[in-house]
Amino acid sequence: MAEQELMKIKVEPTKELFVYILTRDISHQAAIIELLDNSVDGAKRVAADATDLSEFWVEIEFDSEKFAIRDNCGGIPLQVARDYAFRFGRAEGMERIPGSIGQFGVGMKRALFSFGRKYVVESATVKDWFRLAVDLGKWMEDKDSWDFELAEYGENDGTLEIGTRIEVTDLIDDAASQFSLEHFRTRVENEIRQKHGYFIAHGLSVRVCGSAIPSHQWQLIADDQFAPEYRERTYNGSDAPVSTRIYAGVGRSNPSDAGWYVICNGRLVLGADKTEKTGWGWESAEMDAASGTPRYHNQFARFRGYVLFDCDDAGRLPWNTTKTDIDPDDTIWLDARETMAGIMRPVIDFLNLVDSESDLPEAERRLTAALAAAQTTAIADVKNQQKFRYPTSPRPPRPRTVNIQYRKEKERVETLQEAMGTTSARDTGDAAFEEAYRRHVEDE
Amino acid sequence: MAPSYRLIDYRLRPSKHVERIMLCEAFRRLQFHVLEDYQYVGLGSVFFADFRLIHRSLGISRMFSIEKHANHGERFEWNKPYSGITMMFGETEQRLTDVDFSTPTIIWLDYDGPLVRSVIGDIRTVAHSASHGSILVVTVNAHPRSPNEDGADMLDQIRSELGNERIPAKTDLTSLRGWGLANFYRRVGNSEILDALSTANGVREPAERLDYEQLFNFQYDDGAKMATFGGVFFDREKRAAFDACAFDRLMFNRNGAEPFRIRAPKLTLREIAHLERQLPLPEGTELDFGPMPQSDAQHYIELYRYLPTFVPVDLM
Repeated sequence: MAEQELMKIKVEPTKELFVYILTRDISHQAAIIELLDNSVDGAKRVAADATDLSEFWVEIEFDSEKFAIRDNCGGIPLQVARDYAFRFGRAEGMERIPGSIGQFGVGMKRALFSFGRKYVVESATVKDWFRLAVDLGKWMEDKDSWDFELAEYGENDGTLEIGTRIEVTDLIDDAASQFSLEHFRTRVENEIRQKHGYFIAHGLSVRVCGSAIPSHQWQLIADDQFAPEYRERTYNGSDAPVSTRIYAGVGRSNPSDAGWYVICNGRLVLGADKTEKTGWGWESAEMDAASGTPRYHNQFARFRGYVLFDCDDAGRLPWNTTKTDIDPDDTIWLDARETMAGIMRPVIDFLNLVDSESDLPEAERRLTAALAAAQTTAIADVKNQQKFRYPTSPRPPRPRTVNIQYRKEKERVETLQEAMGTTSARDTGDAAFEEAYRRHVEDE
Repeated sequence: MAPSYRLIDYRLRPSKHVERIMLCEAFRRLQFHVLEDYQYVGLGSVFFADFRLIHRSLGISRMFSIEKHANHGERFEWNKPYSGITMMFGETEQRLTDVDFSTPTIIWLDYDGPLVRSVIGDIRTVAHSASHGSILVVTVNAHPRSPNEDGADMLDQIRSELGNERIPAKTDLTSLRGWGLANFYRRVGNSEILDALSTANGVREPAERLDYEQLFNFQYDDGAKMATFGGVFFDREKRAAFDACAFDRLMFNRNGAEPFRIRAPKLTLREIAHLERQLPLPEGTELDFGPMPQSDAQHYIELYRYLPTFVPVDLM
């Protein structure tokens, strides 16, 4: 056999990989959220008290021509820009921001690449400033160097306003068309309201295309009759312990709000989840089986659960790199999830009880009535660890009843309903029974 | 609830009548295709009021009526005023997929109920498949609501019906009161039309992309507050044809958030005759109102060309 020449395989990443492939992992919406994460981290870094962000603001604007984000959140230090923010991957030895939400060092570049081809990043801290202008087309042509040239920088003599401004122009087609749609803007607003609601509630001002995002608090029904379940636990095992807080209970009936919410360092990672991921549909497929947890169904539209993870080391939190989901294999997450499944059960049982009241005449639906009148409270105001509780006043004894159920064509039911002057199919069925009873039993 | 055609005779609603005639006047201006080549898709009920008008005034004969009350099928077939009407029985979300949208289409989705997910699905289906020169009009019930038995207020109910992600972050209960819900529905409907169109354009060659321009934003109250919005789809490269339609010359044309509110005046026949004798008003002349309320008279002269003379009569 003839001796073969050794073949070299190139394994170095190419710029195309970063620009065209990595950007596919993230939606434009999520990319905007990541840029906002950077601003929030900046604010947390310079704030005297991380729970008071009222002096900080972020403004996001986009249309078919450009994308821009501007903030006064402390600015990007020159050294961070040089060694980290514009490098590919997070540099070793990079000092971390305690309790930060931006961990992976790819967010900003990935976001910018997915929007357009020309960027300007300007930033000033109390100490220094820089201005970076990148033309992606030119950068891609240069096959040797991966560096962005940081040509303009200096010390802040106190005349520059502190903060960061990022502008992207020469937008990629799909970004340009989405950025011009109100539909997209509404989604971004809602996503920020949900995902950064915690920071907005702590004073941060966020505007999207000129309109201020209102704060959004996670709420549960809690008053003198109802109490949500609340548990705390701290996972040690590192110099940065992870603390968890789990709340479960009921809220206003709304299928789009129902489910579990997972929050890492104040940032919502997973919202209104109704899948197996958060413990729905375990062990038993039956909705009202006594063990396991049922699959989500609209009779649980009042279910609310919140799991908050906090850690100074953002790397120990159970989220994925785009912060759009949990990391399903994280050990702390797996443990927390067992607890979640356990404390879901009494809430589910209660909601089944409420659902069964729909067979009763309106005046006897006590839990339904109590729920409609109950008050909601922000989870931050639930301070003491406690069990889920609901009013259990005994019902007056009633004669034994059975359910009668039958199906009839809708059209005919409606016609009968009109004729009898009843207001629902249930009442019509009820009236029809009474009518038959009177005719065949009482009149006999 | 009983089907609405069992409760009201559609023809007796004066604002609805005005709206129908105004829509027709706008359709008559379409310059993209010969009018007779259009098909009309509507939700005709048993009265087919829109079908009669469209056929008689525009000459469109290829017509489809989607009707969910299939169990009265015979009655609908029997009441069809023209043989050119094909009944399509079933829910709109199922039957719309059977419509051939490559034919220029005027479609009026005239619902009785509010804007809910299934309506949005219908709107998106049309906006996603509409071809050059086609018209989409949507009417929904936008009457403000009270809290339901679960204690959910109007905003909560709307969040459930539409999904949180469709509700602009600033929306609050106050902004939905009065005509607010009608404004809100137009806004959400319009943004869905544009989004579905943008999705469809995303896979089209640049020369095949369509634009959408809103033409209608009606609000009226014949007993419940209703919102009607809609517009026209056309080839981006043929904007000149859109301009040639001169829709902006129609006094009821509305291309943004500001509605055209139809207020049917309450005047006697004698008062109407007195006003009509003076119309159209020559420039520089003052109208003689006589003893009638000025606001009603003003509404009348704004709408007189579109109002029924007294009771609308169907000439069979």
